[in-house]
Amino acid sequence: MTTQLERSTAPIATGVTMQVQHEVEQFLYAEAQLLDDWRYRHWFELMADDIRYRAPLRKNRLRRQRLEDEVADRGTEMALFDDDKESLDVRVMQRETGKFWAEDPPSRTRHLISNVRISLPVDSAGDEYDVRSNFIVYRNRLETEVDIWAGERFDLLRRDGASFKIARRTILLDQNVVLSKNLSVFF
Amino acid sequence: MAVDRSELLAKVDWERGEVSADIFIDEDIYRLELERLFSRAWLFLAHDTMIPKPGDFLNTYMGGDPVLVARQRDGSVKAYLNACRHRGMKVCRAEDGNTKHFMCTYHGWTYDIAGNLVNVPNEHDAYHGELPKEEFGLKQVAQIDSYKGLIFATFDADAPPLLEYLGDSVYYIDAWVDHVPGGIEVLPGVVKWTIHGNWKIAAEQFAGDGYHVNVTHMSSLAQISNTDLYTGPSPAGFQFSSRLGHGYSGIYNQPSRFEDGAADYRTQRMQTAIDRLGPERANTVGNFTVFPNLSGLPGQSNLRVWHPKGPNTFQIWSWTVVDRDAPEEVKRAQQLSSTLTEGAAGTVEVDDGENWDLMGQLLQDGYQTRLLKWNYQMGLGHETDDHATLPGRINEMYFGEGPQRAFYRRWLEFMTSEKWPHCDDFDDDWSKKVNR
Ligand code: FES
Ligand SMILES: [Fe+2]
Repeated sequence: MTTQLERSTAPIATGVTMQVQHEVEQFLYAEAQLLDDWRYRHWFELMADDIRYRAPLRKNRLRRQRLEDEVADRGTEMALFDDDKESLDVRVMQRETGKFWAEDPPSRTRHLISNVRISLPVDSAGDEYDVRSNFIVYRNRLETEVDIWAGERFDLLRRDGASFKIARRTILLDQNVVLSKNLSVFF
Repeated sequence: MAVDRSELLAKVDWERGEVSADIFIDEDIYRLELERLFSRAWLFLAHDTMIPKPGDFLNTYMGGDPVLVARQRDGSVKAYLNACRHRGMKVCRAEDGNTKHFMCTYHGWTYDIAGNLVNVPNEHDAYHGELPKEEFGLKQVAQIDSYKGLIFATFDADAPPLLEYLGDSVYYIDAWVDHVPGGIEVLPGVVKWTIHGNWKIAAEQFAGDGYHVNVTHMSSLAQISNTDLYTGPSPAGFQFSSRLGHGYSGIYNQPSRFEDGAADYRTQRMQTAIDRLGPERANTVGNFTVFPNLSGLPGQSNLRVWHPKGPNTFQIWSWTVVDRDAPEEVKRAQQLSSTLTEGAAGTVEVDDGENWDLMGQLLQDGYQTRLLKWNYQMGLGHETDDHATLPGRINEMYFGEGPQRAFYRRWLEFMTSEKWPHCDDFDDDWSKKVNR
């Protein structure tokens, strides 16, 4: 069985039309805008009920690292994020308490999403897409604080009427030691 | 010495509960900490379960210095400076793994897992076979030892044995490493992140600052408690301060965050722990610091080190701890719960980062901010050294600043002593009690 990694590095991703490419990109841009507009509840509604939202640790290891290892589920290894819909809801509710000091006053963020590559999952009925995208998230907070996070997302998008739901998101944040005081943002 | 002894004494008035903000930002004080504190104290390196097999190693720090910790073929553990004896290049850049040797990638000097220099390119022609290899092994720590799986080391040969250094804190450490017969295991994966602030702020907070929880963490606590946290009373619990600088603060009878199987397991294990240890230690969740920079959240299964990276930067290295014999689904539940609340993105911890970073910025930029004396007077004079069951200095309330006062008292002793600061060198009633 080919993996999402292999399929999306094929020179021509088969079965994905320009129309689909356009729809997926527009969806990702709209999703990013919800985050940058602080509309977290609305953003949360884009998640499928079976969402797994995960950011594994990026390790410095001796042997040649394979990207598959980086994305793969690693059992009980700790992660930066490892959420299902319920715990993502907890994160969103925290922002709604009016007492979330780490984000109140809120940070200014800008999610730049690019390099969108789409492939069809092998076992899909045609309503799901494997989507890889790169991101730069810029955060500016209070007077002068700046954080810049770059990385890649491995998403599973599922058709939902005229839009999509996010059924899986694996985030590879390109940092070993996280260089900021917290990650009070979504990627 | 760039820092004057009397100057330091004036900055830390633990008896009155006043500490000068300067000690959290001054560059000379920081350099002196690396020399007199981090090169003398017993520092936490690893838990046994992080390097179970011969050849397993991990990279960590002792103060500002990179240190390799490696399991030997005979099961013992060695720790040595991760710096080549030729020109000081880092000999291993992987964060962990398993190996037979470390080859320095500058000129190729190669060391075995005991730290011995075993191979040198051109040893016979360029060095004419005259290099005394046995003298150029990696610099070993002066002493290494472990307590119930927790491995510590010190660069000072004059430091007292580990058990003496931990002193009365082992009574409380037992409550989170030896509460069940199988002991603990550390889950793989170290969550590491960076605070632009001073490491002592975090260490003292974990020793004794339960006071911040209701306010700093209002948004995450609000989801599990409906009470008015701001005006609520101090939760029932206690605080332990050690003459040796350690501290623990615990709340009694905390409800479990867990559901179903994991909740049942935790109820059972609590009963086991109470039978083994008695209710005061076993039935608490809280926060502790083993002086100077090992901290954790017993009951919430977290362990961490505050690695100093300069006067105004430190890294948090955070691990999740589970009962070794717990069912897999209980470990998984703990992993998910800890990932949600602890770590760089943890719903609880993100608010600590906001405090520590901004406090650091104020000290970095300011002059008047550095002149402030911070207030550490909570509960001053309301502690007892003669508690019926609990060793150490006890405050019979969760809120208080006794552990912080004890932390800075000990810090001051390390910082102002020309030699290893044994407690009985300091003539006071509390020292006599500890050493009798
Ligand atoms: S610095 Fe390591 S071999 Fe030269
Ligand atoms: Fe906190």
